[in-house]
Amino acid sequence: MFERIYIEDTVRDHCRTVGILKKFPTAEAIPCSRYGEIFNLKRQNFRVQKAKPALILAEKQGTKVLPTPAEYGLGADRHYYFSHMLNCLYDCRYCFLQGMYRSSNFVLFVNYEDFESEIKEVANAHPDETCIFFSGYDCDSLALESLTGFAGHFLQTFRELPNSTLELRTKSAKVSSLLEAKPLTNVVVAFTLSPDPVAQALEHKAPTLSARIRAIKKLASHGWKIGLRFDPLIYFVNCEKVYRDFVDETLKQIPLAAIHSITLGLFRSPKTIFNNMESLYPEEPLFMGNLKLSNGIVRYSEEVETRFAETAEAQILKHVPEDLLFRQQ
Amino acid sequence: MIHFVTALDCEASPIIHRYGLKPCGNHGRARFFAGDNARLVVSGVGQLRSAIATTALGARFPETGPIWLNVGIAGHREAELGTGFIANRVSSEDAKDVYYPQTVAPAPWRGISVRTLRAPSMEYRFDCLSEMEAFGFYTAALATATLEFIHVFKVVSDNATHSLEGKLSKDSVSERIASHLDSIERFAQATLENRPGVEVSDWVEVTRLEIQSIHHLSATYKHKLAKQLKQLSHLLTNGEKKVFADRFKGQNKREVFETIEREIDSLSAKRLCSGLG
Repeated sequence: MFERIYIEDTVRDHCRTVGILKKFPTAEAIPCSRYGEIFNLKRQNFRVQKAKPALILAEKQGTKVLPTPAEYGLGADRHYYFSHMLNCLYDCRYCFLQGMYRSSNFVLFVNYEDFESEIKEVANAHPDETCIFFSGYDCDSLALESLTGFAGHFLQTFRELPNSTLELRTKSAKVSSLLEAKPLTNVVVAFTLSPDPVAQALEHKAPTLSARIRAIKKLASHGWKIGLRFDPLIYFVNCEKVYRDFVDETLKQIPLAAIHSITLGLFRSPKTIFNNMESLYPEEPLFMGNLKLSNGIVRYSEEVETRFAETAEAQILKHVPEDLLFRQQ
Repeated sequence: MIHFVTALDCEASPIIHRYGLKPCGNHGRARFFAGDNARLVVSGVGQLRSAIATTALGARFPETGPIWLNVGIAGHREAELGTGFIANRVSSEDAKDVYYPQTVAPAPWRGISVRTLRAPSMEYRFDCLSEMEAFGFYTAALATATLEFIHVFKVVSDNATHSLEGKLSKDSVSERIASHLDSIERFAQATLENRPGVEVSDWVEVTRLEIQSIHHLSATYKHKLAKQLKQLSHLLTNGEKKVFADRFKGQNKREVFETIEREIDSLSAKRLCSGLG
């Protein structure tokens, strides 16, 4: 899978580095001082590198757990996110990563224990408040589990933090590691889902919708809590009917008791990130029409957003109670 | 198109021969050669000359899209003479910056760090190649291309057992480089295949000029028009393109832009998930 692996000097002898290098014995191992030397270089082409990304093994320094913006909540007292990895195996055309990062090489921060310490510190600082920690902001939480062992490690962490919840955000259908583990009541496996036309047009390299739903059903029957993330909603001709049918079909297959939460959000992007995405893919219809700039964010018009979101919400609420639904602004 | 940068005539000659390149001028000491599929500049020795020559070649032939290759000789402590390497790291003893070329095609040579020196040295290292141009070349090439399309290929000409000691066999340099040209060509073409092929149709320019001949546009609106016509060129079929300009007849400037925007909104919504749902 990886022909080149860059290794920060500080993690050269780290057990995770050694373990990963053993999985790729023929890969070229290239030392570097800091991952930014490669990852942050100017004059890179994210789209071109996506054909053959390299792996960079690094140490995450500085703050590792950050509060989420206020509009991204699931009803807890506090919400945080952390990123053990930068960049994603999949190549979804609406994804902000392609506009945010110069390189599509993967960066894996191998110092999980430091993330763990900070998560515990944050959780223990608010013992009487509910905290949710989101993973999968800068990557897919499960897609590279066989390489990273991320979920396996952090399930242990959250076993010891009953007042905190971990969300594993993913599109992956590879859930065997979770099926082999005892489900935790404070861990939510949250799947990003889109109707087939959107998945086929925009979610390149990702498992099909049906594969993801099969994975969800397996997890649900095993006792895991499921999050459904209908985000981003994509506008196209006849989209409202497509999304109504999609919501019906999806929610019919998932036991209500297994659903932790449902979120929905429309396609939107900060202007600078959008501009980068557009310049990488000038031929992509997603970046062309029906979008307006509003307060520095590129998004659908208010009319489209309101109508679309109301349609999706109404359909969801035919299947689940209102307290399970959260709208991301 | 491949843009080669070499320091020496003996490095350049097999490339010139293979691609049938003809002399086409110079910029100071730098001498240009060009053909249908490749261009080359002989820069002279040293990273400053290499940087100048690379910049000059880019300015002389400013098209976007070539792959840039610095091809030349280098020293290594123990690698066999004639062994080829591709740089996975380019540094200089004169600068803090470090470049990491990104390969997007299979490279048939081992990757290695390349260190650019100020002057020839007999102090060979086993963890990198020593030479005198790559850093200057790379810095200059970044002005016109991205990391994925700029590469350094070096052939070992001397090592601890066979140092140059002031003697350079030009024939052996040419032979050694010639022996790698098939692989270099394959690597270059495979890399170029990864360049996004987003072509801009002639229709864009024709329509743009037609509209601008009728309506006076500010620089901002000219830029907006060009961008929107490029978007439309991806959305309209060839048949639709032929008649599209008819819709502007009798319209004022505001109406023209409204028509274009409405069409982009409508067509992008149709094409996004076309045929499905």
